Amino acid sequence: MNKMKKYLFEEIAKDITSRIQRNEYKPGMMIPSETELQKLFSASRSTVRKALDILVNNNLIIKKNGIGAYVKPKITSQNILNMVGIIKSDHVEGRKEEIKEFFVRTAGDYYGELLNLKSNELVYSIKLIRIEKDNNKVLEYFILPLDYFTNLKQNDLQLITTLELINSSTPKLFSVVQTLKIMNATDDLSKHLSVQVDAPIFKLSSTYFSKDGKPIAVVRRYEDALSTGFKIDFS
Amino acid sequence: MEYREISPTLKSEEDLKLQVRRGLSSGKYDLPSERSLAEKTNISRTSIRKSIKTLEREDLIKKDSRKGMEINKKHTINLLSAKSLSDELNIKTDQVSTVVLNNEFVEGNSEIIEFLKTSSSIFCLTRKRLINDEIFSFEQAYLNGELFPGIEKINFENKSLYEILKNKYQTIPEYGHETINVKKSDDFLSSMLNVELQTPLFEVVSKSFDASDQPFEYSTQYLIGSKVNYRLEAKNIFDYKDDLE
Repeated sequence: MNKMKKYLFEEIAKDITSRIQRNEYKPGMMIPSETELQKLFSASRSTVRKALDILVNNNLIIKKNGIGAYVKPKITSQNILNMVGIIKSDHVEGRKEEIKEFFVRTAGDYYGELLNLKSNELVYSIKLIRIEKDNNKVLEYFILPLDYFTNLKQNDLQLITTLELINSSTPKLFSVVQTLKIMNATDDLSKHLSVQVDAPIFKLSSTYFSKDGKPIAVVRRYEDALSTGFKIDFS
Repeated sequence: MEYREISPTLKSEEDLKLQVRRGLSSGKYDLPSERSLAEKTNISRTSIRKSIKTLEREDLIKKDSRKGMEINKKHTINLLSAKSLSDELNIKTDQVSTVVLNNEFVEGNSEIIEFLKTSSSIFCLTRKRLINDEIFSFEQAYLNGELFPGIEKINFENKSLYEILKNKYQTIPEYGHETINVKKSDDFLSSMLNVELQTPLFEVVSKSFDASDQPFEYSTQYLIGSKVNYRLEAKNIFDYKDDLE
């Protein structure tokens, strides 16, 4: 039996593809750099590039100049906008983000209770400001248990939307409970959102759960209430 | 990855939020004073004062000069169901009443006319809702009079509009779209809702369709912001089995 000769770049593409399918490389996350891939597969730069081109053509990765390549998220904002039942802001998520805080802390009693963690278990605390297309600012505050969000890197936050970020969890997200309320801008919020202290602010609190009902992530979203709205489809 | 200790102010804030959360679920709404909070924990009075201010701004607690601090109990409205507001409010523990202010045919504006697909027969039901004798919302429901003959003769006082539409006209809301915005109350709404001028209100515009895709109701509701939380639960938000591309 003659074996068909497989080209190395095809083998590499196949290998990376299966890692993506196994969720070893997760949606929205960076894959190893070209240099790292060359070492990993003992291949030349052009071979690695050919492999990456296959993956781009197959819609599995997105290459960003100067940053590298990341696994294409399966969920896009467009799909989210069509889903029934999620409270979503009027604005389509903008691409300009500024990370205000990104550190690890203990969950504490309050988030420990919300996320079913012991007070001394570790969580990521992330605060970021998104500037949407019409120059409106949105402050998002994430508390993400380390156990469910392995390998979160600062770079990842700049490439993906909120939903893609929290969708990188293990176990996967299944359901969400959201509360929308009006509050008055605190000093901190008035500074971040460029509004007056005590101006009305929308606060959207979301707790995401896995399929077996475990709370996985807590997200708070704050924006100027007078310049935005929410749309809901109900049935 | 940097590790940080939680600051005393943040800790005090989170402790208070936990107390609020537990108070809401147990039905106990009073909170210890600022001084006793400082004594019980090792946190400075300054940090506690800051965190109390933050929770006040978030409308989670309110300070009364006589009663001290207490948890702000809000009404929660569940979104995503085509239920009427009457059904949503917790009638088990609260006294809910509806006062009809007006029920008549009106001219409507271009958006209403376009949605209901009629310009000659727009019926408007104007109501105020009270919970435990406190004004909660001001609403105007616009209906296509051609679909509901005789509707102007019905007495809607303390009745559910959707109940009447179901029983008398066999119309049930099947699906719809809602938008939620915030508006500061003007003279008219301030007097309707008995609040100060420029109080932040939820403005909810709802467009409903029946089972045969016929638009039948356009409604505008104004609710006092500090009294309401909207809540939504959604399952299967990412459908892993389907190929979304």
